Amino acid sequence: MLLTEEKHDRVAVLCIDGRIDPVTSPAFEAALLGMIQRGERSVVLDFAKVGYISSAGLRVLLIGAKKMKKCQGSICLAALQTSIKDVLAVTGFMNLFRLFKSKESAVLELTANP
Amino acid sequence: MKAIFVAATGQNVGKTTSSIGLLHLFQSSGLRTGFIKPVGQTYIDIDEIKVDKDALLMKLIFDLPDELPPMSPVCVPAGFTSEFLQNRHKYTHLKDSIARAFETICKDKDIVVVEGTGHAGVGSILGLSNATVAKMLGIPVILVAQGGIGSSIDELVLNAALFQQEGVEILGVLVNKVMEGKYAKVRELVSGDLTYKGFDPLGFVPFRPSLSMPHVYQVCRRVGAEIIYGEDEMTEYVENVAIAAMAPQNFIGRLSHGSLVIVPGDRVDNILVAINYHLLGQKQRSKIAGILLTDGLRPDPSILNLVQKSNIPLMISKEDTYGVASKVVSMTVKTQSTDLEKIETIQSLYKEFVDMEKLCGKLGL
Repeated sequence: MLLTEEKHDRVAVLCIDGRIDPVTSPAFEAALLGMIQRGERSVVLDFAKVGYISSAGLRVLLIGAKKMKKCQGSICLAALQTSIKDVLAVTGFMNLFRLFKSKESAVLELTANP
Repeated sequence: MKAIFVAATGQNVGKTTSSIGLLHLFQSSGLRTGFIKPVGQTYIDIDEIKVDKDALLMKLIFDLPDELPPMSPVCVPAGFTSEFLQNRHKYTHLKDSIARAFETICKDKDIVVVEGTGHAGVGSILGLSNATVAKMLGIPVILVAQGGIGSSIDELVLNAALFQQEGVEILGVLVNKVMEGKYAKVRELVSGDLTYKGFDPLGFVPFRPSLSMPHVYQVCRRVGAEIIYGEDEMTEYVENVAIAAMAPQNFIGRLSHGSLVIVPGDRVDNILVAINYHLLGQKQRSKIAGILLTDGLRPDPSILNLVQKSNIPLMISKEDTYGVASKVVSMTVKTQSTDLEKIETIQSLYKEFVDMEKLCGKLGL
């Protein structure tokens, strides 16, 4: 899995490329929590290149959401593939995050309405 | 290591809520906790296997270290019972699977919560009723009963009988969803009667309407509606349902914060009322949770444009208003790992209303 961070003014983007499974989840967790710890309060997770997420990946999303809630920030998910959307829908994760069709639309929205 | 079997007098009485509350109490007391759902009926495909939803829920909420397969050893999908009866010889391993999984979960734990499924007798067709499983694992049961007086006690006695027949110890009773207006009366009368009948009351947990509220997205899935706008705004809770089948001046009185407006797609007048209510009153907590169009009627693009600008989630269903409303009203809302506020509510309710000292004393913890 490849993780790339981008910054668009006040919006931080984490682009994820590959599977989020028990092997890759620790790196995903470290990157996401690192961003929150650094003070990022508007984070977009770009899922365009993610085709699989395991329960270990869901755990990271939940931990991230809880930490961000305490800091009164927000995490958005962008460009979800159908297979990922299905997993998030049945596990209730669609209720937790704002979803955007693309990284660009998420950045635009968070820039206008943080 | 100790373990308890959480069983209920029926479906949707509050087993999962009780498991969340109890696991939180145990975990926050510093105990190493585990969870297992021996027989699951509602499963999801995750990690390339089928697991019970509650097993995943507990793993995520409490960050439990165990792998999912032993937390959910037997899943019973729809149609499985017919298959079982026709090919019984193929499924002689089910009891062993549960016993082995329980052994795995118990390793390095102080307390394991074993959650049953449905009422005491559910699973009998497979030889795996809640009472049979509790007996097989050699653990006592906590019975969760619906808050109330008459039928609540009747159901409790009926369910208790099956556990008693199997020789399973009933550690105590948790009375869940007690209506706030009747709390003192229910507590006094039921507590006395439970003691009289030889059951130990462990707590009376009040009903909180917020725990039964679905998210807009859950409603959308239940109804099978198509999302037109506002996918990114569907995280709001539906606090009430307003059916817009009346003149606007009468409909406006039905709206309140968190309303889900169910409206035939050609009732543009009421759609505009909902938009106005949402836009004019946001500061006074009057947000419309969503508009659900019925009968497959899609309003004119100029009206759709207004809804889009208001940021109200807009969905459309091909079903008529009665069909949609019936589905929404009959929804059973299950707690999900992502319901952070609901989970906090459950945890604080159990902390306040469950006699943890008595429970730990009875368990020898």
